[in-house]
Amino acid sequence: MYWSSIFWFISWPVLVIISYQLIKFTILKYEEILEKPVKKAVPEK
Amino acid sequence: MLEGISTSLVDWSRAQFALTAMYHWIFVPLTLGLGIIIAIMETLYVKTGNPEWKRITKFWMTLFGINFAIGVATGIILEFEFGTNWSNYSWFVGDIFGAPLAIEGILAFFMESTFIAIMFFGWNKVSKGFHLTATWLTAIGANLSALWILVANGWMQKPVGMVFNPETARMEMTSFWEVLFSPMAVHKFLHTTSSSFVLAAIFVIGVSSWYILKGRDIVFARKSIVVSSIFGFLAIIYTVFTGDSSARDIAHHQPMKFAAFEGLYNGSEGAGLVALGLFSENSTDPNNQNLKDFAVKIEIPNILSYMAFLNWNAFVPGINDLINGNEKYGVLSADEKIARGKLAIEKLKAFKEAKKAGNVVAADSLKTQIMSPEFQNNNFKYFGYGYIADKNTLVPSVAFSFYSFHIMVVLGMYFIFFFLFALYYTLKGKIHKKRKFLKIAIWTIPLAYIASQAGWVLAEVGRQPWIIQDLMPTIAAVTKISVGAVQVTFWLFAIIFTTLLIAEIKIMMRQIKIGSKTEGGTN
Repeated sequence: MYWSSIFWFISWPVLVIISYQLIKFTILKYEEILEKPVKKAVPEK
Repeated sequence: MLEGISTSLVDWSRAQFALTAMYHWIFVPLTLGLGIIIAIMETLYVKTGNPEWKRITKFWMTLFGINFAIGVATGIILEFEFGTNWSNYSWFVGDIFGAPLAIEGILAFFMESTFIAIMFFGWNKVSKGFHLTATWLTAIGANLSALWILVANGWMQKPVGMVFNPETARMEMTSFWEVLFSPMAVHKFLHTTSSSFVLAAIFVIGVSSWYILKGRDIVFARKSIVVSSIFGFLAIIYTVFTGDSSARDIAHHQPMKFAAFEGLYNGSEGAGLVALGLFSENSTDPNNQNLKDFAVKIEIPNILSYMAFLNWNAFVPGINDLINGNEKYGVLSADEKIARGKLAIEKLKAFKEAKKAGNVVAADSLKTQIMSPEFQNNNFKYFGYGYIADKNTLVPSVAFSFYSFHIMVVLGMYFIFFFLFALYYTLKGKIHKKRKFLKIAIWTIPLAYIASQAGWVLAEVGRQPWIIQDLMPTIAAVTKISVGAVQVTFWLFAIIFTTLLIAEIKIMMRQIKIGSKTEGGTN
C-alpha cells in the first residue's frame, strides 16, 4: 500500500549518496586544476 | 460557530502567520541544505585527510550556526501561533496534527541539539569519525524536523488516516502510517527539502564567487563551488521530479488550486499549459474579482492534461467547472457540495441536541447515520462546505497563485543552467576570469530565496479558503480574539523579525569578510 511512498523516501538518501560519490570523483579527478594558484588575481575595488 | 468572527480578524491572523512563516522560511532552507553540504565536505576531509577540507568545512559551519540559531527563534513562535491564533483548528484536529509536531520536538530537535554541540565544539575533543557522525546526524536531524512539520502540512492539504468522532466533534487519528506515508506529505517533504538543497548550493556558490571576485581564497572558493554545483544540479533535477509528483497530487485532491495556478477557467480534454502569461485588470466574472482574465499568454497544447493525469487527452476541470459543476465529467457544483456540507452540520447539531436532551435512542440513531460509509462519502466529505456563505470565496486569488507558480518554475529552470555553468567554468580553470558570471552568481542568491518563498505562497494561498481541505475553512479555524490584539502582535513580530534578519545578514557578512583564515589569503 505504501510502496510508492517508501520508494520516494528511499530516493532521498540515494540523492545524497550519489551527490557525495560524484563530488568525490570530480574533486580527485580535477584536483590539479582546483589547487592551481591564480597568478594574477585582480581584486575588485 | 462563525458568529463574531470578522473577515478582518481572519485576514490579520493569516497575515501574522504568513509573516512568521515567511521569515522562518528565510532561515530554514539554508539550514537544511547547508547541513548536508557541510557533512559532505567533512566526509571529504576524513576520507582524503586533506586539511584544506577541514578549513572549508569549519568556515561554512560558522555560517550554518548563525543561520540555525535565528531559524529556531522564528520557528518556536510559529508553533505557538497554532494555539494563540488558530485555537479552533488546534481543537478540531489536535489529535492528528499534534502527533507529528510532538515527534518533531522529541526526535528531531533532540537529535539536532545534541549533536550540534559536538559539531561546533567537538573539534580535537572527539575522534574524526565521531565528529563526522555528529555532523551527519545534525544535518539529518534538521531535515527530519522538516519531515514532521511537512507531514502535518501534507495532511492539511489531503486529510487521511482519520475518523470524525461525533461525541467530541473532533477528528481522531486511525492510522499513523497512512498520515506519514500519504503521497501528498511524502512528495511535499522531498520537494521542499531538495529545493532547500538548491538554495543552500546557490548560497555557497554566490559567497564563493564574491571571494573570487575579490581575488582571495581562490582554492577554497573553487572547491566550495565544485561541491555545491554538483550537489545543487542533482538536487534541482530531483526537485523537478518531486514537483511534478506534487502537481499531480494537487490535480487529484485540490483541483481548484491546480486550476488557479494554471489560470484554467474552463476545463477541457487535452488542456494546454500556460507557459507564460500576464493578467489584465479585467475580470472574467463581474461577481468575482479573483477571476482575472489573461492579457497575453503562451499556451502549449495538451501538456496540462499530461501533467495532471499522465494522459494527453484527459479532462482537466477548470474553475468554472468546479463552481458550476460539469455533469458530463462527474464534477459536482459548489452549490451541491455546500448543500451536502450543510446537511452534515445539521445532522451533527441534531445529534448534539439529542445527547443534551438525554434522548439516547435518537442520539444513537443519528450517530449511526453520521458514521455510515454512505453519509461519510456523500456528506461528511464536504463538511467544510457547509460553512461557505458565498461560493465565489471557494476560488483563491488566480493571479497570485499563477504568478507564484510560474516564478518558481522559471527560476527553477534557470538554476539548472546556473549550476552547469558554475561547474563547467570551475573545472576548466576559468572561473576567476568569468567576472560577469561571478556577479550573476552573487545576485542569484536572492533569486533562490524568491523561488523558495514563491513555492510556499503557491501552496498556502492556492488552497484558500481551506485550512483543512474540504473539511474546515480558514474562517472557522481562527481564535476569537480582538483584531487589535492581532494587529499589535503583527507589527511587533514584523519589527522583531526584521531586526533578526538584519542582524543575521550583518553577522554573516562580517564572517564572510573575515573568510576562512587561509595563510596569505590569496591562494
